[in-house]
Amino acid sequence: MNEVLLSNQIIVFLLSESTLFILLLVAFVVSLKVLVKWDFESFMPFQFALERQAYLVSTIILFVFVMKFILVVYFIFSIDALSLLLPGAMCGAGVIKANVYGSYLLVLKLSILFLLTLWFYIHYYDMRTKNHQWFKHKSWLFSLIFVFIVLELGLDFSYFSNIDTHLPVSCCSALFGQLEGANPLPFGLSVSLLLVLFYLLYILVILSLKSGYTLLYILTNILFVYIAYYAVVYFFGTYVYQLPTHKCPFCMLQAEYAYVGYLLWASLFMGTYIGLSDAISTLWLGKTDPKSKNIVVWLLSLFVLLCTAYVAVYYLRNGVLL
Amino acid sequence: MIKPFVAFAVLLVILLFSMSLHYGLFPYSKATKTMQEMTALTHMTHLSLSVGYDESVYNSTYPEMTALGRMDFVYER
Amino acid sequence: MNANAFWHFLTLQLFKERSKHLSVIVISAMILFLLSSVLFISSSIRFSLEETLKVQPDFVVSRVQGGISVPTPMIWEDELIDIYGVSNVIQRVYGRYFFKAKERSFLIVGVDFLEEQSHENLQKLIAKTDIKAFLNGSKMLVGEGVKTYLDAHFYKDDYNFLTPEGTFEKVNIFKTLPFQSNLIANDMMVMPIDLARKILGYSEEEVSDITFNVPNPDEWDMMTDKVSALHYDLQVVNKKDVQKSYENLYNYKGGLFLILFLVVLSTFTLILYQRYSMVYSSERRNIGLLRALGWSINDVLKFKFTETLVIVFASYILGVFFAYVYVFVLGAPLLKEVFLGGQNLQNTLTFVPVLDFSVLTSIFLIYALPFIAAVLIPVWRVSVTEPKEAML
Repeated sequence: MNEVLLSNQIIVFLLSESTLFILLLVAFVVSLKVLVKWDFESFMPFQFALERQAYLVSTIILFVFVMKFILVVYFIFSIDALSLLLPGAMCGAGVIKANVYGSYLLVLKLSILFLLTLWFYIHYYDMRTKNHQWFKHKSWLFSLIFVFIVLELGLDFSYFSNIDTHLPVSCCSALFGQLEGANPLPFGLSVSLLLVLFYLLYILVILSLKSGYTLLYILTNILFVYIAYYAVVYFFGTYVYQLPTHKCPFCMLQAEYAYVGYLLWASLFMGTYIGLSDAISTLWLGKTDPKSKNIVVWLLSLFVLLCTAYVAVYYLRNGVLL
Repeated sequence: MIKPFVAFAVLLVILLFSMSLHYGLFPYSKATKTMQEMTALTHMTHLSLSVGYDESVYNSTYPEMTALGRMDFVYER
Repeated sequence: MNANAFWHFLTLQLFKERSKHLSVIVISAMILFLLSSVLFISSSIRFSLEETLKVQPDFVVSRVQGGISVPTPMIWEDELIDIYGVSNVIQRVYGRYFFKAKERSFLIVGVDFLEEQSHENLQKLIAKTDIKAFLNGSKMLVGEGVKTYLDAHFYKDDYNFLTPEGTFEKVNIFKTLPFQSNLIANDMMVMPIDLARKILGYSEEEVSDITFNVPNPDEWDMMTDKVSALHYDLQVVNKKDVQKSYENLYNYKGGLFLILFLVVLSTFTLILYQRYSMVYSSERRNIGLLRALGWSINDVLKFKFTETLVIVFASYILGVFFAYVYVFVLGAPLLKEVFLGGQNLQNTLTFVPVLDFSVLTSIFLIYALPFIAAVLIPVWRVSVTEPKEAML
């Protein structure tokens, strides 16, 4: 039997994912039925029964929503713990790249979290209307999420059962570090340009968010996440590790760096999720929540400040930059 | 909240607190240091498994570690 | 709804119906107790071993013939010293000594006490040891398990080893090793290396294996290749392999347990589903009353959900607490034998408490998630009760 599948965390993880899937399957079947037969204007007992069943669907999704967030953190933690078992792996990066499924799985998990946040927003507005105005919107969205989750479950199992513990994997320094002179940054950027872009985009995100240019905001925020990922891996990360050659998005999730990676990535992604969900619901449903804008500003600023603080503290302590 | 529930909650908090107190006060450095010194002296990290003599035949990865990864607690020998 | 009124009503309801909840809490706490104990023991052992492995030599070289370790020639030591980048080449002599009469065995470990380093290490381990007195005549240090066993069999001060030549070797017991090292030293007898050779039947030119350090970890893979090229019957094991094999060992024990535990868990989930369906159907009237009083479906859902969460958290804390006391305070009697075995010497060790995110979340996920999942549908079913049911 595959040694990876005996790892306690992996068993718990797969079990949890499967349990959630069974619940979602129930929700999906009910939701489809409700979606097809839904007619809010009708006063038949059948419609009332449907409305009651809609509560089951939303309760299940809310529960899954909370659990998925915990499970992503747990997933990353287990991946990190697996690095002990794989020859050559120093952190999660190597384990994720242990087979082809890993990186897709991670991206898929992050997108599902985003969609769930969006669903949560629509649900929130929907519950506050008297006639469940956006019921169909949220049901269709859930159907989409469900398709993704089916994919995710499949990937979960194929990823973990296909990790070969005898095959050496690349360490993060091989994956992100020296690429024999090739520039790993997108658009042929240099590190200084990357940083300029990083801060500019941050300012642009905040400005467009505050001034209400929703479409511009969505675009800049997506770009910001993209640039921020590279900025953290190729610049800020080196200050977290205090080593100019150490370029890795995963090592900072380990205990040696006080698990700062969780805070860093969580603030970036949560900020983006909330911001984008609010922006999309503005465009789609015409509803905005002023509170979430403030939260987004806070979270993204926390992210930028934390990144900058590592550089500043290093500079103040040592008098030089890496 | 009604009083009995508050009492119950307080009890749970006390349990948690006493657990973390024991956890916090445990002499970690003493415990790990002794084991590390033991290893430094003998140059080996031998897990003191209490298995029968004939079971300690051979472990392919680590010859001095007694084999424990056997299935005979699942399958009858 | 006023939060305080909500909680007041919730707790009032919880205590009024306590007999219904109590059994669930007790069963949950028991299941959690079993689960947490196993995970606590395995993570504690893993933690201790990892800490200890840090000071273990990086490489072990031994001679293997036909898959079985055989005595390693001492000349290999000189060959290893000549390799650039290798430091601290040390020979080890150890082996199990079988006490035939009672079917017990001890691990004899030979230490070269002529080395300065060994003196220091010994001084650190057992304060105020008179090295001279120890080296004067045949003396040994024994682990706690060995000491207890020998005491019980009237070998209070010394023990007569039977060497392979058929002669008896009387060795005095000098001191007992500190109890904190019981995890690794319970069945150990530490004695001067020449004495160990004699008792285990090694010749002057033979050792069990040879260890060495390579300070630069980047060279480890290269060094493994280089050293294995020295002889055809040479086996090199590095520290990472050892770490991995320990990790696998405990994953295996814990994993197998967890897989079997799934059976219990699914039964538990089914029971919960059944039970809550029953309990809640008897509550329909109450819920109908609440609905008639103006509670919305969402309010009832929130109410029932919070009730479930209170039960989940209460049993989680109870179960984990009792497991903690059982494992880390009482030393996990009975259960530790699954991990350490119990056929040979009695091991009375204290587990080093380990409570990390991974263990606590694992316990929470494997218990709370199926629990809530099982209760969700019954909760929903009762929450959508029509107000008219109050009058039935």
